[in-house]
Amino acid sequence: MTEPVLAVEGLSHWVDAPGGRLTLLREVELSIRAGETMALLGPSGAGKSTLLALLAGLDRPRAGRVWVVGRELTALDEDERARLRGETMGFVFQSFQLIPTLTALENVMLPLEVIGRTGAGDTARAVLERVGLGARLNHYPAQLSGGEQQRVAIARAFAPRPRLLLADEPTGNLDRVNGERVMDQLFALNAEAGTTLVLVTHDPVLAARCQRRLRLEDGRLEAA
Amino acid sequence: MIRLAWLLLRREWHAGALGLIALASVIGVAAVTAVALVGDRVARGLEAQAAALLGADRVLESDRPLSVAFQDAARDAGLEFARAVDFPSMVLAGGRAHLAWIQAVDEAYPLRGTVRVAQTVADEGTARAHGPPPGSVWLEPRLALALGVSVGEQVQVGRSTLRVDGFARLQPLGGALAGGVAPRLLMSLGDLPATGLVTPASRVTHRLLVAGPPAAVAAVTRRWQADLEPGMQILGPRNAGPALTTALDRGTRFLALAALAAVLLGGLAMALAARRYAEEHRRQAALLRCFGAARAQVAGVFTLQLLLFGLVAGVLGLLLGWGVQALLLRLLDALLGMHLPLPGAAPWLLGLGMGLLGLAAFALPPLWALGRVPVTTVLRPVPVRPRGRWLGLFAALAGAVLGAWALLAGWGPLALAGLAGVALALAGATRLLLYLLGRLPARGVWRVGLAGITRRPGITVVQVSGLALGLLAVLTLAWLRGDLLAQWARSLPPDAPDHFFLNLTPEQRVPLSDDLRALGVSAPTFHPMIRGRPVAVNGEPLRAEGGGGRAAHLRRREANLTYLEHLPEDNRIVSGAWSPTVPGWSLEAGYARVLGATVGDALTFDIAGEPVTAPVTSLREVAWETLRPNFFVIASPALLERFPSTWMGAARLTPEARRALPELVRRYPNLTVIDVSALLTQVRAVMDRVGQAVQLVFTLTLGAALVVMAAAWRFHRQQRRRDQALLRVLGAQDAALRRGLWREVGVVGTLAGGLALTAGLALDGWVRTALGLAQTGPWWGWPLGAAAGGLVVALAGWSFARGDLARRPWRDLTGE
Repeated sequence: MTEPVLAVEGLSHWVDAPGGRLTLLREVELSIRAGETMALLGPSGAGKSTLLALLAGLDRPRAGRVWVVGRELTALDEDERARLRGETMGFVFQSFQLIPTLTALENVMLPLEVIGRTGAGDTARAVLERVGLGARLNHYPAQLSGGEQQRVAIARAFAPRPRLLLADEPTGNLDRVNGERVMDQLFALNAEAGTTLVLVTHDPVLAARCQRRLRLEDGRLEAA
Repeated sequence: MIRLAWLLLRREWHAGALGLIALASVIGVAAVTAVALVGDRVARGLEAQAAALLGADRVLESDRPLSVAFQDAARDAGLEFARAVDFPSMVLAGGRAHLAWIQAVDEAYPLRGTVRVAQTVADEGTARAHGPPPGSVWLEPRLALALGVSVGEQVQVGRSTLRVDGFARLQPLGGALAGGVAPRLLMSLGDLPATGLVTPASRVTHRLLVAGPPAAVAAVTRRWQADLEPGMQILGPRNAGPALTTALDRGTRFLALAALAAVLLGGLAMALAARRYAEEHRRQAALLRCFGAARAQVAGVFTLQLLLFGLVAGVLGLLLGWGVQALLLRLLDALLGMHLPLPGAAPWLLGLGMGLLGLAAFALPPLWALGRVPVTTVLRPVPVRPRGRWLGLFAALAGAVLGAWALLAGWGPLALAGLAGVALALAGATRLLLYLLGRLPARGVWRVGLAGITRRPGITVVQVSGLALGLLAVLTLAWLRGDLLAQWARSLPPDAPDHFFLNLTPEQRVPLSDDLRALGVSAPTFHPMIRGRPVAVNGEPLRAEGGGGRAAHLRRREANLTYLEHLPEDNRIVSGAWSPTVPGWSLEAGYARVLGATVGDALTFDIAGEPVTAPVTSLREVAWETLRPNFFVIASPALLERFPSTWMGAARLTPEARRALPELVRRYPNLTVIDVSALLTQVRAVMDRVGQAVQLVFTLTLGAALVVMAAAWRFHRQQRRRDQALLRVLGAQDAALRRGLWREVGVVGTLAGGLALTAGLALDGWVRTALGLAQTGPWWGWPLGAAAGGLVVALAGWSFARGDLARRPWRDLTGE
């Protein structure tokens, strides 16, 4: 059996609020195999985004451990987590998060340059062509439609060939038609690269396209 | 709407969103108010002092008896008035005779100030609020010395014998220098007829002195002006003590320039902060529109907010301005040695007005634009693209604000055009540098930082050129100020003459010079003086009328002409050329205007009944505040040498010579000595302190520059935070992010410092060439200053921006 790309053990998280402790995650256990696609469902405020941030090492959990490609993320310092993230993970956000002063091409080159990969320009150009934006390389985000911006974001996420892709409501800011087109491309790229996908969504139709569906309710993770 | 505006304002205030606009506004208002208050109070103090010197608020002067209508006008307006008559006459005592300037005054004299009357020549004396009692006289000490009389003894004035009641210590009248003033004798107007000195044919000056509330004085002055006849003129406080007035005027103009820089920088900071504020409030504006508010209502709410806010910040600025002004005056007060009256309403209104106008010009355009925010912003943030239009609007309004202040402060359109030119040149240079920087290869984190600088050119140009302008203002003030003030002080060198000797005969010149040298006085200077009345220009007789009292007075008055081989050092030829071998006149430019003569005109003077005609060969500017001997008319020697003349000497006396003065007066009985040492000390002290005062205002300029910096770095804070967070999510390590930020602030600091250096060197060179200033500081002064300035910009940028290095990247990205 292959080693899980992502494993979570006894993950709990809470914040100290004015009214007392607010528990966001309780004893979460999770394991995802390479190439597996998983949808994370749940109502607003259930802690989905918090879980995603902890899986990406962007925050430290109060309790529990997280492993990514066999390395214990929760035991690493901030810079080591950043390096691991840059080398193994890709991200797609609801509000695209493109840098407005960089062109589409430069936005896609950015993660490659941050981790010091060579040939960033060629790689980025190829991925952008793959998502149908070969003619938009030198456009700034503000010159692109919402759907196009999200396709740039997807290209950026796949350009470094990550082993794990974390997507947070990727269609939340798009209309249905555009949302579907963007998701088609995301799933297609995911299948080509054999990337492991964790997809946070409200949309049951979108969730249905994943191999596994989990629901986060009241901080607990259960099968949907 | 007011309630809503107030509610939102209170919330914003608590949220601190308005802090930078407030700070910029407060600093701008404070700078303007402080300088305006100083100007106003010093002007009022000077007026009071000058009025004390005049003995009145206004004096109507005439060479014929004044008709009662003038007096009635004063009485009708509720003014106090006094009458005086003055003329030169010989005074006798114990077989000695001396020319005196007799002033006969009525019981009401003086209306302003006091006369200090002493019982011995050396005594400081006590203040008297009236003239000498009937039957007695007060003598100026040097007259008493010349006559050898003391208190209780008698002097003969015309047919009357009057008792010496005391010695009047009067201050010198600056304007009287050129007229050849004899020492004064004060007597009662009631005693005048008995002296038999005044007949209808006598050359006497009749004076009507008035004092009262400023508005009434102004009204009476206007009525007098309408009825002014040839041979009359109105004297006001400005006619007294021009040297000190000039020094203070110059000082307040330096202060005003420092304040102008603070206003400009405050405005820039306001513009940046307001635009940021407007962008942060797009959603709120859209929400208000969503709730059914009309466009005008939304724009109205934010405008009202700004107005309320402007008033609050304005009041704070006024308070700070008052404090700064109090500090400035503490520096000036002691040495002015005069009571500074409380200011009028004008400086406060000016400060508040400038504050509100500044807000309107710099901060209103982006807030007004909130009325046009699309309602859909509520649903989906519409990316805001920098637009060129608001920059144009800002430039126009800002130009108006700065223009208003520059004109109020007495800086002409040229200075303002220069400032605008410098600002435009800085902006242009920034744009070019950004273009070049944009071509630099960059990767990763650095690419993001560089793109943030070069790809928002509009706002970066404002930021960088604003910072550069701030640095330039600060550095120029720091470097040039010293040399400018030094040059100004050089116009009053330590050996500037402090005593003038008038009425010397040509034969006395050499012996007096020898006597002075024997007393340790170095280089006394002597000039011949020949009285001449201007009579014709190009053969056309001069008319006495027209051009106001002073002009008419100057035209019909005899002038002191002199002849010289070389023009005095501090005279500057503005037109034509000077050669001692070419027969001709060199006129002071203002005097030439009064005569209506210019270079090439044939000008005729009546000298001792003989017309002397020669061409005007040059016009000069004269630095009157130097207190050196200066002349309206200088002739080439060939033209005047043959006429009989008296001589005027000028020297800086040693303490020994000062003590020997009474003996000198006895040895040369016809000599009139004028002591300007007190005035000289006062003027020099003003110059020294103005340097310190400018430094104080300059701290406000520096403060404004720092606020510009804060506003500039804050401008893209949200976006920078998001960029930093994204970079961290994408795997950038802490060191790389820090390095990127250092490079970013380094580039901005280098740009601002480099531009300030280039512009500063150009400005420095230009000012030095134009004013003939020597470079006194070391050559590395400017580069070091610019480097330090650039470093301060970068360090301040770092301290403002390092908080944006993402600590919680997920929260920064998702807003959770």
